[in-house]
Amino acid sequence: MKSGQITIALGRAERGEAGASEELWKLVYDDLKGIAARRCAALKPGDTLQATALVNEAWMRLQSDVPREWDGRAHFFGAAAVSMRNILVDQARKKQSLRRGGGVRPAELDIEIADLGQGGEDDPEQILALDEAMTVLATRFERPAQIMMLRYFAGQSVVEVAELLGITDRLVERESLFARTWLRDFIDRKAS
Amino acid sequence: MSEEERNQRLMELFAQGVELDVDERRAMVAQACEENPELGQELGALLQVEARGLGDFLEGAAIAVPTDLVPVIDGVEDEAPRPPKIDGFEELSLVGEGGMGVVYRAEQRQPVRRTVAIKVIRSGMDSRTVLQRFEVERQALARMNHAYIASVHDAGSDQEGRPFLVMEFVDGSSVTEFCRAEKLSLEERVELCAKICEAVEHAHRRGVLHRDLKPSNVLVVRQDGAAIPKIIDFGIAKSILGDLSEQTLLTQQGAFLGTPEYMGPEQFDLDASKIDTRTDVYALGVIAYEMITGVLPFDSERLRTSGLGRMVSILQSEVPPKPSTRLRALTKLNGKGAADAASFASPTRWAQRIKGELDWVVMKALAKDPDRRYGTPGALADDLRRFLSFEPVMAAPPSGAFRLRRFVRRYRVQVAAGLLLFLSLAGGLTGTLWFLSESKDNEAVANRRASEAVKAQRVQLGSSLASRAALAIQDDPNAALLLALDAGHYADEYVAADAIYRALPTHDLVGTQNLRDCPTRTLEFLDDGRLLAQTTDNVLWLLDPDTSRVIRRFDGHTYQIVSMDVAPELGLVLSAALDETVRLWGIEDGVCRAVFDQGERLRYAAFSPDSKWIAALTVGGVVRVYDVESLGLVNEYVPEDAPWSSFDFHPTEKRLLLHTLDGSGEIRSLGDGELVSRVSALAGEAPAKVSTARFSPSGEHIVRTFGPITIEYRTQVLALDGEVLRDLHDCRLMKGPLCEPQMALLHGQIIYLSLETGATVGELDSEPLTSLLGVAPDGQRFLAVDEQRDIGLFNLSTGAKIRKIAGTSEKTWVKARAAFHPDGRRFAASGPRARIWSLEPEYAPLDVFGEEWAYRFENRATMAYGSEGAMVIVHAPEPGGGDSWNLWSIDERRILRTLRPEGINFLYLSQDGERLLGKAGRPAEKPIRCVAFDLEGNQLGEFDEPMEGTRRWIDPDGLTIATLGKAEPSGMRLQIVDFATGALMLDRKLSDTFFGYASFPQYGYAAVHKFTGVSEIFDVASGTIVCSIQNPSGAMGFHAAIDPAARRVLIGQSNKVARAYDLDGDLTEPTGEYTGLVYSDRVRAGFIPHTDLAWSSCSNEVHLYHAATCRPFAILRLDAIVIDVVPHPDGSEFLTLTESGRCQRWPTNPLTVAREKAVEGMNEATLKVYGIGTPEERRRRDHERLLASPSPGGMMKIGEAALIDGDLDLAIEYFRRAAGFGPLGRDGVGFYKRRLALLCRRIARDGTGQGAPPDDVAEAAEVIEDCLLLKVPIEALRKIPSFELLEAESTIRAILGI
Repeated sequence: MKSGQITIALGRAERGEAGASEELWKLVYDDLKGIAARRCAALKPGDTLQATALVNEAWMRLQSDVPREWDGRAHFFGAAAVSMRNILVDQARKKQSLRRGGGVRPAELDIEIADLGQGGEDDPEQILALDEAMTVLATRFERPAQIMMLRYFAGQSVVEVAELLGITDRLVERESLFARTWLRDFIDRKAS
Repeated sequence: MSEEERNQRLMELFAQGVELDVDERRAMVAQACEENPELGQELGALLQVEARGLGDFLEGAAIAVPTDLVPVIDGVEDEAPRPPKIDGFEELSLVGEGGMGVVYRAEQRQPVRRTVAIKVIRSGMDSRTVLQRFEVERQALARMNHAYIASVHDAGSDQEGRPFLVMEFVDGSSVTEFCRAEKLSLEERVELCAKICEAVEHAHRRGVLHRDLKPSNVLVVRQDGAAIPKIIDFGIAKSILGDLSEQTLLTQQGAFLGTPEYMGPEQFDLDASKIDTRTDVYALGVIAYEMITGVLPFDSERLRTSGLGRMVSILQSEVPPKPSTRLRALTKLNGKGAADAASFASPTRWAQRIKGELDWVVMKALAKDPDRRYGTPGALADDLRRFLSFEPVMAAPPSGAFRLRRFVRRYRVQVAAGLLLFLSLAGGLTGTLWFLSESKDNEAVANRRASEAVKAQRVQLGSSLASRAALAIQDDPNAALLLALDAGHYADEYVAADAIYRALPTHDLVGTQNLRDCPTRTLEFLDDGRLLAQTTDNVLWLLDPDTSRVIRRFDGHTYQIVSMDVAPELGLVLSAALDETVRLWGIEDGVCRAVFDQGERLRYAAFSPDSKWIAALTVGGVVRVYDVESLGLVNEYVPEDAPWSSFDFHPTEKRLLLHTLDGSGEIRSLGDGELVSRVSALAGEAPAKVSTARFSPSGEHIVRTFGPITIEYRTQVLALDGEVLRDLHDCRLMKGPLCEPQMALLHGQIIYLSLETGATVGELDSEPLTSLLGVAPDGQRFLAVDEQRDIGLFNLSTGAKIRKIAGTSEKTWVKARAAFHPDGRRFAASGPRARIWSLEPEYAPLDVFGEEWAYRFENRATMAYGSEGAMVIVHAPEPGGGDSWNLWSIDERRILRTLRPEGINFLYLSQDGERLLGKAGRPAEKPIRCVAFDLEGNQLGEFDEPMEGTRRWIDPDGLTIATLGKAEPSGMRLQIVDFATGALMLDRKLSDTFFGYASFPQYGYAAVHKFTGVSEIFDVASGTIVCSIQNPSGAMGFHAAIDPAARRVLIGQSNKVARAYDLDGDLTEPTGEYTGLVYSDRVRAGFIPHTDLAWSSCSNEVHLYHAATCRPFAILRLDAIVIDVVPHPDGSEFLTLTESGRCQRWPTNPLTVAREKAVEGMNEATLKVYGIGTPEERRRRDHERLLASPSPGGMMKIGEAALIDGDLDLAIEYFRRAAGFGPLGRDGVGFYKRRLALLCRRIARDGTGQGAPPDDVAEAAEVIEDCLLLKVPIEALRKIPSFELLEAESTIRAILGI
């Protein structure tokens, strides 16, 4: 468990130190994957593991090591969302390359993402398209992108996102509607 | 326009755009194009995408499916794992896959032919962790041997070295699947569930926690027609005792092992030590819930999509709906769907049967706090079986989470110290009050002796009986009453009282008054209990609730009054009428102080909270505010467009909230009338017919309700700036002043709504309601309108209906109003008349006597129970002017004889009813001659009073007379004389210069109450002072009673207090104080023989209370001043006599009488069916049942039951019998320790008894030996209370080796 390191990294990220965010993401990424791997061992066929559960578990584990008065929630979930996105994108890339006939079965954890509403159920293209769209969205609309990161990749609810970002529920709802519309539009455009 | 600005603008326009329709959107896009073509284009595209609908696109969270379970990638992806090769097993076929293992079905040939299940570790999963878990399961299973647990036959490693387990092959389906497929009845399901519990109990006894109980791990098969559960998968089992391999590993991994839906809240804590047997009990609770309702307590979908943090918080804090509620909701929601889900014949009927006890059992198993759950699965099984055999269950209804505190805005409420049940007399006389607690004080003693757990069990048993009583009412009122009375032995006072109140045939209508044939509308009690009533008439009424007589009319309006409001601190009442005026009245004089002409019919008018202002609203929507002091107009708010439909004063500030039907509103400051803020309109909704907006109790929020009358109410909580925090359809608030949290009805169900946050902070289960009318001042009960439009009384803790209030049914239920009397024991409810109802059952006299003497009573009568029964002697003036006395037999209602003793002015009946005592000479004449007669009128003796006295009293035994007179040269003298012979028995000079009273506390004793506040009690025969008690300063004794046997003294004091003292205790510290007396110079007190009750009479009341603690027991309100109270020598009843000449016979405990009557109406068999019985009978029945098939468990149960009843000796006896069945082995450790604890308790109570039977030390020695054999450490024994007493014994020390 790297919670000690994560705590330190969170502290540094809080203070805005250079490179701290990247380090934090890396640590959280490893941690999430570790949790996912362990949890998979406990799952039965047909059980699903949710990003939400994964991220929250990572947070709770972290929290038990973190001093009470200190709240690195926003940073952590931000990092977790980025990590989760990376995990999913990595997966998708691997699957894609496998389908193209290359490589061997990945030895490490393999997870898939939910149907994005287009294409086949297990289409790695979807997540890659979403990844690209998210990147563009973030350059133009920072907060809606941030909201989507937390909502979709860190699996936080509207209320939780509102708390994390210190804005109202209504604003979260409004901006996530905007972001979803924008992303849909962007992905559709790319596809056609 | 910069890029950033454009992006910002795009978001804004998009947000606005999504609210618009197609045409408006088009216009918006066109306009945006003009502003900036790129912006317009992008907006158009986005709005189009939005219009097409996004579906679920990115709506939830990304879902990750671990693919090791679903092979997808390379060449082997579609191939099932290769079956392992294991010698001796053939035909392996895959039957299931788990996270770490694969299960095959196989045929074993050697040594026996059988079908088995082989569990093999999945290849590639053979990490150390997994191997260890596998080992855990093997060990766990090996320990167990139970028909309901899949057994393990063998273990080993296959040819590739992977470990495997050979287990019993269970060809069954999951328990929920089985219930559904086999359409099991409720009983079958409950029984099956009890069996599962038994199996888990077995595992626990073998030291294994399952920790992952869920339907898929509980398979069920049919064997010989019976449903047999088989528990499988002890994969994450944990040892209670240790040594199930390295459990640290499990805990490291472990916090989230398991299946969330079935995990106890404590399993989410990282602290593994919190997980114990009760965690499995929780999972069993969930399974039971699912078996009964067909659904999980918490929706899986919701749990799994809400995020772990939220999921944990739901599981740790949210209380799921009770099974019956859930089932009904499901039925309502999807009709037959629910029936299909669990394959019930009739879900509604199921719900009815589940409601109550089965609900409680399941909810107890599901308690968040492990301490509130059943301690073991066995206890859960027991309760399930109790449900099946119609025995009362040990689980109790969950109590309401909220006790409302601020129910009453203006009343200063005194809540009775005990439970007082208010009663009425059929004859329309004033009521009486009656306290229920059948030997509650004795019970209290038993309770004190009992442990907390036992107490809780008692209370639970009581609740269970109370609920049975409720269920029995329809079928058998007698049984209902008996069960309710039985509940009184155990239950929480209110629960018992509710049950009794519901079951007793009572005349609960205390008073009624026809107010000119007009139905009552608004009712409000003043602090002093008088009732103000507004009818549909043009008059306001002030009524006396004791007599229902009209005290005052407020007459002046010329047309119907529509509202009234009271300012009690000013003594003013306000009325608004359709005659276009608002009138202000003095409550005490009925004089109209002011008339405010509004030139238009009124909607309503009200005082501000500080009573400084009056506001009135007309039908035209004009609000005017007046100053109460100057009566001048302060503000006038004429609506600009929509008329005002409501106003409300701010609770603390000078602000007024004005509101219209369409939902727009304004807050204005009083005085200058300036606009403070605006409240937004209800966008896009049709204007409501009714709309009221009010400030929350803090004044920081607004709550408003819209409602077309009779259809749907909509309630919103808003911030002061108009932002809607909560919008609830089909929701209405409780009538009356607002509280935080506020009780409200949402879809007919009670919720507690925070008016400060808008959140629902609690719920209360009840039948569907249409309107909430008010909460009683003690916060225990509330009034509401049910779906039949009747007003009903409900329990605020349980939500259960206590009773329907007959005759209140309103066609338009929205108009129903009710108000509680400040005493909390009566309420007024609107209806065709002004009616006052009692909340408490009836205390009726057994007999009323007194119509027989049809002449002036003159106060000269005494009563007694004697050899000729209950008698009363009454002065009967002769027509010619002489005096005669009639001695009546109350029992026979006839004059036994008429006595005309010569020259006797007063003739008393001695309290033992054996003689008559006469006094000759008017008080002015000296000396006074005293004469004693037998009941035939034969003179026994006479004497002249030896001393000129100021007061004299006759001893209740009729043998002596005491005189208190002046002593020379100063002070007082008390003389007591033998009535028959005139011999001076006591002559005592009381040294202090004082004036005082004397009284006869009890046969053979006399008391002197000095003005210094000291009360002294003498033993007449010896003249010694038995006790001297200093009454509190400012008070002196009035009356005294002594009970030499119970060593108790009771002093009635001039400050209307009765104090009880323990004669052997500290006489400066009363053991109890009864403060409920009213002012009167006739306060008298006494004990009721053979009970622990005392009585005091004052004014027109007789108060009964517990002699030692002074806890109230009953208050009887009689028709006139009480002049005599005489208890029967056996304590079963007593007589009262009032100045009106009415003589009444009362049962000391009317509930006993009610019980006897009810028992008469039932036969033994029915009593048994309903499980009715006193604690003794109940115990006897239990014994019979358990003794019919003797077992150690049965003996222990009898022992534990005896403990509940406080009988330690019996408990020890049965524990000894349980031990007589032979050694119990390791399972017996708990039993041995318990037995030892009981013995220690008795030794602490009685001492070691020096070897005399029962020889507790010798018995304890045996038990200790048993414990040592089982290697129980001495430290564990030392934790037993009082064990040190045993350790002091040499024999014990020898055994312990110290």
